[in-house]
Amino acid sequence: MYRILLADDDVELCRLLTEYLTAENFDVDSAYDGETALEQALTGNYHIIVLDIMMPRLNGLEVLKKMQGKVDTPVIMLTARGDDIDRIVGLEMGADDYLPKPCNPRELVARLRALLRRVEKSLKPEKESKKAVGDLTISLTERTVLLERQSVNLTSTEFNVLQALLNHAGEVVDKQKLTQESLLRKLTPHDRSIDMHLSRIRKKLGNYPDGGQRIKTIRGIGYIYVVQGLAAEG
Amino acid sequence: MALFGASSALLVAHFKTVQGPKPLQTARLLRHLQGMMRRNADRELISDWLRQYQDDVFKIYIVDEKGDELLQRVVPEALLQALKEKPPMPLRGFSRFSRPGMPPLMDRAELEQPLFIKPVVLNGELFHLLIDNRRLRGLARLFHPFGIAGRIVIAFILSGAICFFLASYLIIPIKKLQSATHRIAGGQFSDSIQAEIIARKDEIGDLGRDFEYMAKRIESALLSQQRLLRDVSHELRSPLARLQIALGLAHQRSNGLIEPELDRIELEVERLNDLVAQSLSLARLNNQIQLAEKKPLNLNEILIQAVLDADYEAQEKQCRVVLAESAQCTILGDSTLMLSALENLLRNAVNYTPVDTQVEVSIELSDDEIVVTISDQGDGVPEESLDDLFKPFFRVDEARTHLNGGYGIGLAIAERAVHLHQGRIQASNSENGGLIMRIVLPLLIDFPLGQAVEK
Repeated sequence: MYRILLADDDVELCRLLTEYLTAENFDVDSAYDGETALEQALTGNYHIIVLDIMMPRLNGLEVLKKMQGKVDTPVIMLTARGDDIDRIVGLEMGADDYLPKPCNPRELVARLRALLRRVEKSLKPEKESKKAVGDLTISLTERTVLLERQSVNLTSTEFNVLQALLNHAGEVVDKQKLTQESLLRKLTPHDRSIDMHLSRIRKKLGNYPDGGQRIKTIRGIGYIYVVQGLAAEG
Repeated sequence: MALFGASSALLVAHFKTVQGPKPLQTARLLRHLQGMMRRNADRELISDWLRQYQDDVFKIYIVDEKGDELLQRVVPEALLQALKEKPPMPLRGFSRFSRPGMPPLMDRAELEQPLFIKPVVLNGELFHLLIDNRRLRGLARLFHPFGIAGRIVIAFILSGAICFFLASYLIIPIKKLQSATHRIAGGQFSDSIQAEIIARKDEIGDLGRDFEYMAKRIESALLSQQRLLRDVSHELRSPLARLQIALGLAHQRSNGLIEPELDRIELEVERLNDLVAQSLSLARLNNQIQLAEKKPLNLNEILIQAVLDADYEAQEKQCRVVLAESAQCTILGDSTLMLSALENLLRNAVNYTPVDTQVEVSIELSDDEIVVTISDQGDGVPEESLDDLFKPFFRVDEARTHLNGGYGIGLAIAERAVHLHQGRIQASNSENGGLIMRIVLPLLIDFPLGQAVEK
């Protein structure tokens, strides 16, 4: 049974959601304010944390910031529907997924399961331990990224997204496939989660030294990791 | 202008066009001479006396018996002629002149003679005092410092100055008030009236203060309306969130017994959710005066993404959304906002286009503008309602209960978003019945297209 920390200031909502999630075989603890949520999160007792942004004392983003570097429990951020800014900031802070609130509980459960599968998968040792594409080397066992021998700090989700993209380096990967392979769930309408993760990875890796784009957007389809050697030969 | 004309006329009328001194001045001159005669002034003294009038506008001359002027000036021919014609009439004493303290012996008519000649005996020598009293004629009259032209010029300068002063005092503030009301109409309520008008103590100042008060009242009314929409939407979110979870619980426990009903409830909850989210988006856009973040955007890419998304949704009702014409172009703006504006417009078009038809989208460039056209094949909208389409929750026909409901908030959001991009949306009916939306946006010209543009 998976243990979930549910942090939301709406007590009644927490009660209902606990009931729902218990029926779906989760063990749920609730926190009604940011400080309690942070305290409980730092115990490391949870498989996953569901964090609402609007909370008294410490808001969700502050909790996320204070958690970073101390515990690496995956986080799903609940953002207020219609507040695009919160959503973007939440992902920039390094949440693993987001869900607009009010949300369908079935969707929440689907996201929880996908995230848990991802975490478990990343814990299993890979057969192929290292993968190099151009000046970029990623270690699948250590889950680290080296760019010209400089280490790049990626979150677990970002690592998964980059890995999925590198598996098809030099070819266009559509967003459905990318979402399925890296977030282990289906792409839903108006779901820009994958775009947000990629924009963060892009920022962290930067362009090629000659100014060429490392990760290109192919309009309406998806993304491509550009391999420079291939482009030159072709 | 009437004021200007009147003041000019007044000034022109005020001056007379006579070359010589006024009768009273002439009499005074004569009295001076009389005094000098009594004191037996010599030629030198008379010359000195005459010299002080040398620079006057009105020329007075004194000539001796030989016809030489005392200050060697050229005497007007007419005066010399008159002197010749007039028989020399030596004065017997000074009795012809007034005595000190007595009224002048000469009457006004005599003093105003056009060619005034007065014999004077000084030190036993006969002199003549000559004054040119003729009226000025022709060009001389026109260009005399107090002639018509001179007076008109002076009148123009003076009344022009007065008019300028009056205009700057009365008309300029009214112009400023007018521009302030334009600002109020454009939605800028605070500080719309200039401080210099508010500070005035006259009626214009009163008017300015009243305007300011009115603007504040309108602003607060508008704000409270927007705040109500925002607060209601905000407050609806928490019960909706709980409702959705409770619905999930009901699903878990129904064992498939009331599944269709629960699905129906779920659909309506989803619609409510969308409505709340849109209301909040609109409220946020209404609060924005300008875009928080502006970047060069490739509008074509954004449009393609919106068209592909809309086409995907449209296929559910056997419709298509096609991009008939595309052009590479760059705008300055916010990509998320622009995308949501286009999505809302496309979704609306898909909603109203009949089954098995297509929504046509095109993008065209002019010198400095981009025109995106979205046309559906629906029934169009009555001409008088075209402008109202962009009002939140507008319905074309109050009584109509269309399956799709009203136009909701989507178009209001799109309009506001385009407005924030310095653009405009026009709705019109096409000849074959559908509705055409034209989005006009300023083209970012100086930006080379090859450069990387955020999508």
